[in-house]
Order: sequence, then C-alpha cells, then structure tokens
Amino acid sequence: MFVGKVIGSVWATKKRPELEGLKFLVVKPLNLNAEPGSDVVVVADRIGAGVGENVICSYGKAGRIAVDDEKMPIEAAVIAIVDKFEIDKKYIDGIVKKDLSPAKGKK
Amino acid sequence: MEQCLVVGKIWATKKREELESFSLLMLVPLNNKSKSKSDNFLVAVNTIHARVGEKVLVAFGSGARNAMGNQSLPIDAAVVGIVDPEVEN
Repeated sequence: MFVGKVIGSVWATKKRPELEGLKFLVVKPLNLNAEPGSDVVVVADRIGAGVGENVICSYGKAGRIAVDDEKMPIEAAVIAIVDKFEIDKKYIDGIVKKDLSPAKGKK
Repeated sequence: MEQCLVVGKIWATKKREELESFSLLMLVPLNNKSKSKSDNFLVAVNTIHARVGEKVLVAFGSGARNAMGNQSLPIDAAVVGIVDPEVEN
C-alpha cells in the first residue's frame, strides 16, 4: 500500500459501464519528507475521502477488493483514511543518499 | 519481496472493516547498499511484531494476503520477516 494526500477528484462521463457511480480521487503519494511528492495517482474511493485528507491505497486485486467488486476495471483504491502517522526521522536520514534529499525551500 | 526499513507507524479509524485490528507500518524499500530505493513510503501490515528501526522482508500481492491467511483482504503488502542483523550486507 502507499500513503498519499488527496488533492482533487476526476470525473469521466464516457467510461466503462462498470465504473458508473464510482468516485475517483487524485492522490499524491507522500515523499520521505512526509510531503506530497511529484507523483500523482488516480484511485477509486468507496470510503468517502475528501480533498486534503491523507489516505492509504492498495494496488491490484487488493484495490478491486476495496471497491467490493473484483471484476472492476480498476487497479488502485482507497482502503483507509489516515488519522495520524509517526515517522522516526533519524532512520530516514540514515538511508537517504544526501544528494537525493535536497533541503526544500519552504515558506 | 523486498527488504525495507521500518520508519514509523500509521493509524486510521475510518477504513475497510476487514482492516480492524491490523497494525500498519510505514516503511522505506532498500537497495542492496541498504539505502532507500523509493522516494515514497510503503505501508504494510505488521504480521510479526516488527518494530521501528528494524530491517524487514515485505511480501506483495497474493503473498501478502497469504501471510494474513485470507485472500479477500484489501491489502497488497505485509511484513513477513525481520532480517537478522548479523547477515546484513
């Protein structure tokens, strides 16, 4: 699974009939600074996550199980809405190559 | 499977009911030099009481669901082993 922040929704009118009624979210997986990274993933959601929330998503068959239909033409779905997470930064600092984690110019 | 470092824990109240009572870990996949090989966190079910700071083996897909003994779970990653410190390379 991965954890990411919901940044929006996607709508499609012309689509596979199986997808009727299914909500799609745009999620940015959290990078090792625990901030939304540059990747973006579209996931199906039956849990009811909203923009700004962090969610845990599964890929593949687990994603189809998460929408209660293994015949769905999808391969990523929300399985949980995150309350909180705790990261021990010292372990991340120990495994990240220095050049891959530039100090971010944050406000 | 992949070798990963456990770097934290994650909690969710609103979730698929099958996940009730599962403990979820935040991990970072490692390369053969024990450095991160992903820019993102991996979330996996903790099946063997692994702790933060330990290097673990993570199984994906059906293998992860086998670790839970249930193929109908909406999970795709599970911690299935803790790497022995003395055989780290």
